[in-house]
Amino acid sequence: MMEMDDKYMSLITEYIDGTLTEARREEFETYVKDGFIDMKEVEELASMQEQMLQAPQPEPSEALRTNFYQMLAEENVKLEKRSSRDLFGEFVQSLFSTNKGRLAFGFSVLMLGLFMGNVFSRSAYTGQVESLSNQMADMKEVMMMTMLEGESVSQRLKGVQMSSGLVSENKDVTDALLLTLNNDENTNVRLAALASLAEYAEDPAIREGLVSSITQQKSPLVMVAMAELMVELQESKAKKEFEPILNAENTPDDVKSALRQNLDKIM
Amino acid sequence: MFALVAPTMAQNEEVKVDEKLKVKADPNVHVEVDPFIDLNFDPNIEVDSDFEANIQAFAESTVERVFDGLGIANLEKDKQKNKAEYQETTQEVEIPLSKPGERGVLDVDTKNGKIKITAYDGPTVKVKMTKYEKKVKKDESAGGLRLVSSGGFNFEASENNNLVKVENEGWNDRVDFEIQVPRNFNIKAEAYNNGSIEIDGVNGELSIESYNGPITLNNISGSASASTYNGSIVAVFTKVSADVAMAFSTYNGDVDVSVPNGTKFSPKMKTNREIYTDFESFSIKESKPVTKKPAKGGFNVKYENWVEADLNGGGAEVMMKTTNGNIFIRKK
Repeated sequence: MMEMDDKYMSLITEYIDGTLTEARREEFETYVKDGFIDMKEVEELASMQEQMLQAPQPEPSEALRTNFYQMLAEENVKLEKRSSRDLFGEFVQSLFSTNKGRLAFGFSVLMLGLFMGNVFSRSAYTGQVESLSNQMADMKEVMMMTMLEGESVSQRLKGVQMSSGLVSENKDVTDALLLTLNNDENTNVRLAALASLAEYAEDPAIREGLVSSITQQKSPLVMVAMAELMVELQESKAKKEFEPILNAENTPDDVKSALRQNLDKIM
Repeated sequence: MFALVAPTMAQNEEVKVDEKLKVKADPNVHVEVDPFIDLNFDPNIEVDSDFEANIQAFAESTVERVFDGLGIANLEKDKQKNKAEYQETTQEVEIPLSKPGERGVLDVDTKNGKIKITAYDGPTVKVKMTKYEKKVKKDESAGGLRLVSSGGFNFEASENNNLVKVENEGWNDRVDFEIQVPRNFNIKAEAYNNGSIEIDGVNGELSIESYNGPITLNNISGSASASTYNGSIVAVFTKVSADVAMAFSTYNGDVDVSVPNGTKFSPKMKTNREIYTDFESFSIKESKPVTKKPAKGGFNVKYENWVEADLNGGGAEVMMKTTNGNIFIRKK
């Protein structure tokens, strides 16, 4: 619209407003004399501005007011229809703005905290229980080992009885029982050790131990009990282990025949 | 009824030896008997249900007749028939205790002969030995040499700090022990042949083992572990120590235990026969079948053949095992 540059505009505006400083007035007049600023257009601008200032401000009509509220109501209805989208907003509102809401929020934070605490500490708890039951098993094992060395027969019997639960988990216990089966001076203690080990005879290591134990037996009761076990297991390797016993002169004949009766049942 | 049949056979009658009766004619009178004798040669005879458990007695009496027929000397029979054949030599020893009045331990070990221990109220251990040996006969000889003696007593007794050891090493000659001990004594007794063991009235821990012979524990208090092969075990307790493990095992014979009313323990029992009791509070624990997967594939279910029970609520484990015999748990 204007040919004049923007940099002159600030001078022109100040001239119209009457806020030119002395230095800038000189500058302004220089530009006018040189033809950069067209006085005629400046005056046009000035009169336009005056007109604008003097133009009457129109009052909003009564209709406008009514129209406005009507439009507002319509807008509200539209908002309600879109309420689902704003549910979260409403929810958050109800939570933080009402007392009940704040209470509910605080309470649920507490519950969450408790729950989390429980979850985390539960793993620590089971850890503790596990270590405790391991300690107990160790204690039981120590007690059992001590009893197995006991001087009295009933102590050693008790040691063997205590071990029956521990054989599956523990090689030391198995070894101790095999040692007892092969070396104890009392027939009943050996029988009890055999009964304990027999429960786990499916385990190849234990079965091997039992088979090698045959030649270490001197008591006819234990020998026959072992033969009966070997029949149950159908363990053919056992047959050859019994040979020296069957051939020995000091094995009584009735024991030999009882053994043979059993061994014949092994296929 | 059957027992009546055997004595009717006259002494001089020709005895037909049943082929299944295996007897080793051993000049050392080492009687070996096959308990699995076929008995039914007369269908009209009723066999007593306890018979098989008493097979030792029957077998021994039959063996005696066989020996008669074969002309080999038999110990017991000859004793009755002809005392001169065997002589009994008796020796008595009184063993003082280092600490009389205090509990002691008796350890008796014999390979041939019976043991009878009786409790008494006194400070020493009295041992009476009866040795059976062949009487020296003037005309007995072996290759030009004449028999002068059967070898002496092979017996040893010692005491050390209330531990009394009595031992008979020999296998050949039979030595019977008759011992009196102070009432509060622990006993360890081992016998083998002619090995019946009888203990009366002792209060303490008993550990008894034999091979050919019944074990009888009468009016004992404390705890016991008893084991034999041919023979029944009969134990009558006046008091059972609480919470103490016990065991009774045999092969041919009953296990018969009597305890006072109210005794608590948990019997663990195994037999090919039956188990009897007259206690009301006797509950059998259910045995769960054990299912295993054998390595070769297939399926395997096993019922544990031990019967576990609780007497009067239960207590220490008491093992009772026999094969050819019943188990009895009686109220004393």
